[in-house]
Amino acid sequence: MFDAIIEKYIPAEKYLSLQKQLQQLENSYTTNKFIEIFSKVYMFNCDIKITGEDREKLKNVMANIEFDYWSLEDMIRAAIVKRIQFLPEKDYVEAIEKSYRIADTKEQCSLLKILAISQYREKLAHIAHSCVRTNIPDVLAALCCGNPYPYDYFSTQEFNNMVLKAVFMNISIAKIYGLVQKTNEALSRMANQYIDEREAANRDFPCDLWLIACPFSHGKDRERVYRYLHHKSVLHRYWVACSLLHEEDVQDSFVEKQIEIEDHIPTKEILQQIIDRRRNK
Amino acid sequence: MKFFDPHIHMTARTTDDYQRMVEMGIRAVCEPAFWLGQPRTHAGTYEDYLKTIIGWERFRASQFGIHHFCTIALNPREANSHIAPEVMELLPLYIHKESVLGIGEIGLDDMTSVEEKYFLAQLQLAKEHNLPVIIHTPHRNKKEGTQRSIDIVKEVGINQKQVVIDHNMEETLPLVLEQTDCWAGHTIYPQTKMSKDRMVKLVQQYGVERILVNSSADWGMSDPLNIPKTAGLMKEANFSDADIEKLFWKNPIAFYASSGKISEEMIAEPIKIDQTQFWEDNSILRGQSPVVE
Ligand SMILES: [Zn+2]
Repeated sequence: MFDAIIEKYIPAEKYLSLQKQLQQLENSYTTNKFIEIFSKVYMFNCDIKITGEDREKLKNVMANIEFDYWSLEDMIRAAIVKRIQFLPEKDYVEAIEKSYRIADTKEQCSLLKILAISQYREKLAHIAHSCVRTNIPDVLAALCCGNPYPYDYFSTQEFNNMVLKAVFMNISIAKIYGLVQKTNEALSRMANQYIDEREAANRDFPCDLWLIACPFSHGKDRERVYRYLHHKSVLHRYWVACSLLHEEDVQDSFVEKQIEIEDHIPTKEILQQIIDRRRNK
Repeated sequence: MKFFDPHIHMTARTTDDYQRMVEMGIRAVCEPAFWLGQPRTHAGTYEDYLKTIIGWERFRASQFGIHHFCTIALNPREANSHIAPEVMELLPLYIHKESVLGIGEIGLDDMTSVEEKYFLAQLQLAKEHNLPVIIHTPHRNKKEGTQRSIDIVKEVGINQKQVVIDHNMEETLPLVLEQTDCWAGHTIYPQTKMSKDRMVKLVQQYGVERILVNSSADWGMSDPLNIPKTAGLMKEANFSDADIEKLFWKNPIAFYASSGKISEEMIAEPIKIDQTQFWEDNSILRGQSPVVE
């Protein structure tokens, strides 16, 4: 599948040379040869953008992956990893581990995205865990954004840890795969404590934080959610509305009051959905 | 004026340094692998250092808009260490990285036989992969060390246009220019060794062809602004802008371009400091007052 896309985007002679290298790799495999081919992907001039149509084609095959976050370079690397699937489990896992160990930043990003479609991926969770300790936003984002791997293989605590790290590294948590489904009471509590701290320091905080701060909130935390529904910043209003959409127990009066005065159309539409949904129940 | 410092140890510098370097026009740097002031006791820590210069330091530089590259090697001092054989095995894994422009710094320091052994082996590695090489010359016994380095380069038969013999002084520069086709590198220090004024005198005498100048700027007394400062002195000494640009911009690019990994076009513009990091069409960062140039 990746091959068909790659063939469209890189010059024919480069595509042929890649295929030749991969054939040689299959015929006489060594981990170091794999690592070399994997490292040299930058030579294909990967700055070309993949069209939306081609991303859709990939999504039709691998529905749970958000290919909007994949570059051509990631796709070529995925094609290379697919070619070593013939290896026995032990060798395969070793190859992925070693290539991650010596990877540069872009290779790390590719590998983290590829984890989700990799063979024996359940054996590779330690790679994803080590990534959460990075301080390079691109690397953490490769694991967070549109990547189902943490959703599938992280414990609640590990998932929470990743989400908080994303908040601190300024990565949009709205892009985390399965965030709403995986949000839990502990994560919500930590998010609310973070908002307490930011408010005390008179500083703003990421607006999409409401996605995890609103669920499981009660008492003064829930009151604050409604307060931000009327906030002067449209981003706060928008994300509060999004977060209430998933809640069972919403006080209609706050929502109805905001619908009347809301001038941001997407936010207004979401608020209307909240009301409609409750009326249909 | 744009500058490329072809030999600078940024892991030893602070963010203030990066800030001042950008302000003075430094667009690109190359960080050769070297020792950290004390011998490492494990090959693993050496490997982590290599990972630092291909990853973390490159990221740090990019936050200031600076293009960061590196060269990797077993350095001459640690060639004498028990970790040397293991480090040598790591090198072929790292030379294919996008930001690794060559092998360096290698060469002689105490001029031991084991230093020579690894010097030769790494020249062979560079030759095999058609990569540029930075050769460190010893600070003690400099003339003899430089001559021995030249002899070894000739013995290996590597393309001399891909080799820089570094840390030259008045007495070694003619050896390099007359006996080889190698580049001659010079490291400007604030107090000891080669100074900015002496460097200007050298280019007055020898011209700017095949000459490279760097600041090294490691953990010792050093100045990461020595390239733009030396350029300023050249301007005062009535060098043309074309000569200054050649020495501090075109020459390092020409030297490293033989790796096939960089071109002037690639580095002429600073890296966009765009904290929204648009990735394809999707920003990974949320849209809250980010610093966008
Ligand atoms: Zn050095």
